[in-house]
Amino acid sequence: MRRFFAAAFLVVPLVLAAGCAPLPRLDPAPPGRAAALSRSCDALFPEGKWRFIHTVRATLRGDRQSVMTGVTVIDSDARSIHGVMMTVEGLVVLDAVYADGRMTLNRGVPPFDSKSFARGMMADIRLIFFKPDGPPEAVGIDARGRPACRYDNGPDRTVFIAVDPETGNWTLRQYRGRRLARTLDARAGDPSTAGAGAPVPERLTLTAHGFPRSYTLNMTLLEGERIPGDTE
Amino acid sequence: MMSRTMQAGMVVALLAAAGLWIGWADTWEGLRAQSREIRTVRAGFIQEKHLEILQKPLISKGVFYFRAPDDLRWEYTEPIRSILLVHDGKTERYIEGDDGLVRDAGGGLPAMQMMLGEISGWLKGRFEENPDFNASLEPGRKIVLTPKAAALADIIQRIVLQLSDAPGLLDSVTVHESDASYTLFRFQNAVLNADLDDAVFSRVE
Repeated sequence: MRRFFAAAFLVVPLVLAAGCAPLPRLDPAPPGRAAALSRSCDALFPEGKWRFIHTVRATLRGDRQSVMTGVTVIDSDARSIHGVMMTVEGLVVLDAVYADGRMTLNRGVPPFDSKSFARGMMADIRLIFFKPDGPPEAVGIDARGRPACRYDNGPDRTVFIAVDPETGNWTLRQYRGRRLARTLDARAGDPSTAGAGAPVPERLTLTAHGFPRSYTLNMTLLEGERIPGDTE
Repeated sequence: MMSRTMQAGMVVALLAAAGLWIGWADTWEGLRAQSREIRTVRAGFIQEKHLEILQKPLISKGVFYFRAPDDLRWEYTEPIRSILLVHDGKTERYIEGDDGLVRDAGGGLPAMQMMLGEISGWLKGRFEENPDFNASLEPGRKIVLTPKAAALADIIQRIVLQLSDAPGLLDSVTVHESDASYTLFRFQNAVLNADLDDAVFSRVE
C-alpha cells in the first residue's frame, strides 16, 4: 500500500511518457454568445464555502485500486481548502490546510505524511473545485460542437473546459505546455444542488497523465452542502 | 513491512471486533475466563466518524462475524460496501466498485498477517498482554488502551471500550486519534456462539 500510494501521488523527478498534442480546437463563439458561454463555464465551479464528502477510489496501472473517504471544505473567495482523507474504518491518514498560497500539514500517517504528497493532493483539489483564475482567454465551440472555454491558468498552464448542453456533464483538460497533464470528467448531479451555479457533480473522475505518475481518482459524492457565510 | 496505516486500520477493526464479546468482569483474568466461552460472534455495528470539519458525524454501517481463534469478517454495507476477511492466516480486503467487489490494493497483506499475530491476544481478551498498549480496567465497566510507543500514539491517542451491562457484550468502542477526531463504533443485535460456516470468512459474496 505504501508503495502504491507513494507511486500514485508523491512528487518524484519528472519522467514524461505522455506525448505532446495540439490544444483542442476552439471555433469562435457565435455572435453575441461569448458572454453566456463564459458564464456557463464559470458556473461549473462552486461559489462560496462548501463541504464535500466523497468516496475516493484511486487506481494505478490498470486494476490496482484502493478506496478512501475524502472530506473537503473549500472557500472559493479565499481560495482556501481543508482536506481530510481517511480509511473506510475512519482512520484519518491525511489532514491538510491550504490557505494564502501555503499548505499546512496537520496530520499525516505514512505513506501520506509527506508535504509533497499533500501539495499534490491540494493541487488536484484546486483543479477540481476552483474556477481557473481570470476570465477565459477564449470561448467558443469545440470539435464536438460543445460550448467550451479556454483559460490561461498560470505559467505554461492552459485549462480547457467543454460542457455537454444536453446532459450537463463536463470535461476539463489541463495542459502543461502542450502536454496533457490532467483530465477531469464530471457527471452532472442532482439539479436541486445547483443553487446559483451548476449542480454539484455526483461523480468526478480525475486522470493524471504522468506529472509525476499516472493515476485515476474516481470520486463519488456522498454529501455536498453549502456552508452559510458569516454574513448570511 | 506493513505500513502503519494498515496496522492502525487493523487495530481499529479488530479491536472493535474483539471488544464486542468482552464479558462483564472486573479483572483481566475474569475477562479471559469469559472470553474462553465465546466460540463465535455476529453483530451489527454503526460507525460514527467525528471530525472538526464535519457538522455532523459521518455514519457508516455494517456487520461483522468472528470465529475463535482468529477468523474475522468485517463488512461495511453503507455508504460503500467493503469487506475485510481474515481466514487461515490470510487477510484480504475487497471494495465494491462499478464492476462488483474488487480486491483492495492497500492490503499490504503478508505483513498484515504479522500484525494479526500481535493482536490476536486482544481477540482472546488479553488486552493487558499486548506490547503496544498499556491497558487499564476502569470503573464504569470501561477499558482504556493507551499506546506505549510515540509513533503509534501519533496515530491513535487512546481506545476506550465500554462494556455492556450484560456479560459477554460491549456497548461501544471509541478510537481517539486526537481531541477533535475520533471514531465511535456502536454494536447492536449481537448473537453469540451461533454456527458460522467457513464461507463467511473466505467468500466475499
